[in-house]
Amino acid sequence: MTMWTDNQRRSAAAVALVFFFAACAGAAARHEVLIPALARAWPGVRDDAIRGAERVAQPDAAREAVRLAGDAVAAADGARLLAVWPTVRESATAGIARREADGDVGPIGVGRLRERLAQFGRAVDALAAAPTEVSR
Amino acid sequence: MSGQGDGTFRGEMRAAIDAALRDTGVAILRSPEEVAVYAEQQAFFVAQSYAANEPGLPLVRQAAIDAVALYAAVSVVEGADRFDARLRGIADAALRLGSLALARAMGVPA
Repeated sequence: MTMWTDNQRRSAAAVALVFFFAACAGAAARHEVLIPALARAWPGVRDDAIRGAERVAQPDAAREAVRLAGDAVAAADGARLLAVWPTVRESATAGIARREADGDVGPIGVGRLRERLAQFGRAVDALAAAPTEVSR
Repeated sequence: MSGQGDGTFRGEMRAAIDAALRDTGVAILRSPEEVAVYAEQQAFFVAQSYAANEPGLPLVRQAAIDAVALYAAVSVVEGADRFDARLRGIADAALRLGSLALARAMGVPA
């Protein structure tokens, strides 16, 4: 068995410590910042998606996807959210178009609803990605 | 981003955006310039909708605030991931150097 000097042991401990902390910042940011932002925006996105559900090809599947997405947001489960996100996004897109057609929002304002949906999708991707996959 | 309500609609929007960023924890890292610019753009569009007397202003205002909070949160995550990647690079280099030194100390080729 190899005998390590005190210096070698200290160096190994320092390297181990760096590895321990290496993945912490991204994980903490997801937990402390991204999840609250998603939870805050979810009611608006959910309302758009529910409103658009009857305008997509499979309304029941869309409503179920919205329900599952709500559960995933509450559980901060990025993988589950990512799995249903395409269906929710399609439904929310239809819901936003319906809001504009119904005169709930004007042509300038509707862009903000679309922008929120786009940013929500970006945040879903960031939540679901492994920390190293987001950083470039 | 001043974040102060100055009595104008855009001032109120900026104050609401700042409050949302604080609520979501983004304020722990001060908003980088790109987030401030993005927030200003969103406030501008909402002010335009307000000036045009469009319907649904509360809906539009809330959507803009949410969009800014999400944009800022993703920026924070990407920044944290870059920080992690740098740390990992340092740790990798330290490990390589450590294994070389160990191999040398043991008299084996690295």
